[in-house]
Amino acid sequence: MGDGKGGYWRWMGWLAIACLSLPLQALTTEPVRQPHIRASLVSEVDSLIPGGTVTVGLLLQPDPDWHVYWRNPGDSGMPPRLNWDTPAGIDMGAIQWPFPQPIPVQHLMNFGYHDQVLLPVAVRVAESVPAGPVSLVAQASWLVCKETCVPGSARLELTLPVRAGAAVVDAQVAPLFRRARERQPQPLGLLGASAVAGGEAIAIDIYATQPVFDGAQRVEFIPATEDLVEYGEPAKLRWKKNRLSIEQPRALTFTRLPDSVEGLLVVDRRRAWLVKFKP
Amino acid sequence: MKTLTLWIVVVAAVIGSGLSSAKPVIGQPAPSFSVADTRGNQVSLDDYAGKVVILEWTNHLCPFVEKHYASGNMQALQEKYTGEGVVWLSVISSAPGKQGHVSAQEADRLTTSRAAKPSRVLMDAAGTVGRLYAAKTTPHMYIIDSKGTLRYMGAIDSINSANVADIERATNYVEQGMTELLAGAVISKPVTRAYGCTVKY
Repeated sequence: MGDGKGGYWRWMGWLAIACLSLPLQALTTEPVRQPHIRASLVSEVDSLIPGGTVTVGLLLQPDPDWHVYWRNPGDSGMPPRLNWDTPAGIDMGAIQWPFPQPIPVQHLMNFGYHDQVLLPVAVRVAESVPAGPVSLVAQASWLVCKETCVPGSARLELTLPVRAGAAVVDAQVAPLFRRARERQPQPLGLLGASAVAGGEAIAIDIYATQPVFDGAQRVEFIPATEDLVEYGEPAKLRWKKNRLSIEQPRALTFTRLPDSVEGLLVVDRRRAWLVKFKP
Repeated sequence: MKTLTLWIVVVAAVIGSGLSSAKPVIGQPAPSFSVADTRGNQVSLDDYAGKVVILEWTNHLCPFVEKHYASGNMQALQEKYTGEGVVWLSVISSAPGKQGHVSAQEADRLTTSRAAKPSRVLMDAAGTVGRLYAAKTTPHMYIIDSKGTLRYMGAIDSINSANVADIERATNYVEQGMTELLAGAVISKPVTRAYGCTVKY
């Protein structure tokens, strides 16, 4: 994919344009190619602002039909990880995970991303950081799978200038960040919620402040809490306006209800709500 | 305007079948099985009455299994416990044509080349024993006490990674469980979430 002659010249052309227009900085690290995946760091804007926050991201591009994982990978797999090394005064936030797709594997279930995915991270810059170039260094690791899996890791270094004034959004990468934002789960306001453990199944009832399930054709429950439900067993979901109930067999690893239940409710594969409550 | 007031019921399709209705339960008798080892002997759990048995699901090409063999971690556990009279059964549930499926001869060669020390290697290409124990990943570990009661099921250790460097930092749940079991204590973490590659049924 794109690694033929045409892809090479297109890349070189793009690089030449990038060099002409941005003589000092690249907003994207050159993708590191590893078995079945490419990985790079991408910045949404052209500079870091003292006292401000901007967004960068880890762009993972698995081969067609290969996938990487969400923060709860499901029955197997491993989420991507980022370990940052940055200068004083620059703080990196946690990965802002876009909602994943359920990926069934035989009778088991994984949660991940089949296509390329941008994992955004906020960069907070202290007022005291002086102008000039800074390096954001990430040690990134991941597991990429189709039927079999290959672990990978790379050191990625993104250099950006610190300067006062307005940061300019890079039009090349803007769609990646827009898509990642559209797929961020939004916290669901709750009037009430409960989880009850039966002998075989877990019953969850959600009573939202807004009619977010009105007209929904499909709602999927993606648990973030582990050892609660058996991911690969069929979940029975019923919804109406602002109410939703879930019944799903207990996880084989279930021992007792946790202090906090957390998961995503994905509506029509377009929008995800984050629910978190004490059962 | 009339509002749609019907409750919509969605039942997700049952993915796959053949998952045994019997489930492995901590504190209950471990599911009994009979399956051939690499030498062609029929091996039954009942053969080991009075002995502690450790089950290890394996697939030599899985990076998470490689982590614990390349480091010598798995071999060290096998050597330690078989030396104490514990029976260690490595189980290969990869189906023919799937990753990790090997002939009995290849399985024995892997044992030799990796200096592994299981008591036996069980050939479960049909996945019968794997499904009986609901083995999900390689590795996936089980401890059965001398009375045939299931006492531990789950991960080999506490850090989900394919990185050898993490072994030292992790809590080894098999070692912890065995230490508690052999001391006559209650196993403090009897169930953990196994990590690794999906068993290639």
